[in-house]
Amino acid sequence: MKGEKLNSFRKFAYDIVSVVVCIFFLTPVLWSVFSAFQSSGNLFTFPPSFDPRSFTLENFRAVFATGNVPQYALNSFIVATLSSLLTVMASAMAGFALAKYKFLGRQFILMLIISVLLVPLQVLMVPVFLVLKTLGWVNNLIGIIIPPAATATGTFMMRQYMVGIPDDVLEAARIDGATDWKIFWRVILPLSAPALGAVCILSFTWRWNDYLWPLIVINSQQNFTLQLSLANLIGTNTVEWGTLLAYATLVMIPVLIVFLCFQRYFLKGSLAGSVKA
Amino acid sequence: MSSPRNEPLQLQKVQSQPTLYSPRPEHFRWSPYLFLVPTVGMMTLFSFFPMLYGLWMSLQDIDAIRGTSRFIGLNNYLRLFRDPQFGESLFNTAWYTLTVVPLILIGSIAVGIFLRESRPARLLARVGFYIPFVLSPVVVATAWKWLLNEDLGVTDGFLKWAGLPTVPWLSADFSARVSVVVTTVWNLVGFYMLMVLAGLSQINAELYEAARIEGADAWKRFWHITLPMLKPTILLIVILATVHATQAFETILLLTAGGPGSATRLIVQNMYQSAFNRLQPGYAVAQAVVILPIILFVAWLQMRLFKQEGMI
Repeated sequence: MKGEKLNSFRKFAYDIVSVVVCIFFLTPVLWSVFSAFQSSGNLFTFPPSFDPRSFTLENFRAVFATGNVPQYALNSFIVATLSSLLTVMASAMAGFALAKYKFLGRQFILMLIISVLLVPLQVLMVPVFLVLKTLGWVNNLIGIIIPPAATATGTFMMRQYMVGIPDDVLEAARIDGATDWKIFWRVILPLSAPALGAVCILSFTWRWNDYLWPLIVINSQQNFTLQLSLANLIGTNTVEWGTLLAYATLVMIPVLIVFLCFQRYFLKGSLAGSVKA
Repeated sequence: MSSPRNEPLQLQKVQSQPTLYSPRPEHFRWSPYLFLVPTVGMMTLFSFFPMLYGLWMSLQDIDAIRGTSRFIGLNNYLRLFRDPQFGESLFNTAWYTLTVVPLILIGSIAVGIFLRESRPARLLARVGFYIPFVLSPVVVATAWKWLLNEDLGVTDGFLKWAGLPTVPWLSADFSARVSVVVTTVWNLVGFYMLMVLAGLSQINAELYEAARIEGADAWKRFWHITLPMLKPTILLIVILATVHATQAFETILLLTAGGPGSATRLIVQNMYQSAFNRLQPGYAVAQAVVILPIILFVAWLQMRLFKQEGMI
């Protein structure tokens, strides 16, 4: 009896330690958000004042003076939304073909998709830039919506899920005279809703967070995404730390909300493809 | 990495060979291919074609301003050998990879084991440890730059407060390297922790029970059960972390811009600058091609792993 009590006490102690360690681990984020609410006078004092009366929103107001922030937010939102829809649709279609059909070249296409997983934009950015230039997509939002939309991770996640859909369901639809497209649209898609949701959420955060594609493709201020304009502020010589941190806080809020609401999808989904796209 | 059957999103062992759904004869030839058109089309245009085009570009002397190019054979590659900047970035990438990968491995195993039990507090901590991975490189760089900011940042504020000398975190070679490595590990460790957790969930609890009866202490259980059973996971982590590390770019660009001097300038940044700052795209691509064997080797390893898991 005594041992059991001791054991559960030890577990409880462990619990507390794990949460404390986790909070310490998150210091960079927490500290940045905390500092974003400090007036420029308080920003550099250490130890800091945790007095809530000294918190201020002046930094957040200053963010909007750095440029056309609502426009950047709109751009980020458009890009992330359209690109995710495209990703979901394309990966669902490809996932279906790879999960449920037997066809010549299937193995080959799987290999191709894995190779995309492994040869990332970082390595390909120069030729990709020239391709976009030829298409006239440089400095155009379309250049950061379409090219990153085909992801190997999304395709694999969809495929893995659809493999689990029983063939009887497809068979039944086929006997009713449904075409392949109808089977996909009316049967497969509704049944794959959880996977579609997961791909959509992951893809939204990837595109929202994206810095590399916009960095290469976008060069005029009106087409900036939030990430790009924040990155531009970091680069300036006279850094207004308060403004910068307030901006970073605003930029991370949507992703944090999406993540905390759907963390199950992240914690499970990200293993399916193994690499961030 | 398999998983219980009701958790379809995790990577699971599925036999891939027999695809059971054979469509009507008249559709047989076309429908799977049509379904693949969007994905394969985009990948062709934005990955495969650029790969080949890149190889071709690396054989050219391209003048980006005048828009002219001239075939120069392997000269771009020969130039790499004589370019101290490239050599330095190669060296930097090497030490970066060789420190980041083991630290991520150790860190993710430690955190994974620590948060192994699914008690509410540990589940909460898992979410917390994953948070850095969902932040954008720009946000990560901003947060760390603030933290490490000389004289004004909290780290130095703390050191001063404790009466210790401050450290020029981002402005001296060695400490900048340390900062870059720490930031990367902090950024990625949550993602790899998940892999460790998935691996740990595969270990049969009876093994531990048996070991306990035999009187093995926690360390022995870790050394003789956990570690050997995690071998596939460890292999996967090493592979993926190597991929992550050899391609590191954005966060470092924003954190140190490769500096001080070129102490933290890795290959990808060197390549980026050759192409977009010095306007020598042909030479830039040649640098990318040099990393390619590393990536292909890793790709080959991963492909084998996927085969083992029944993914292909």
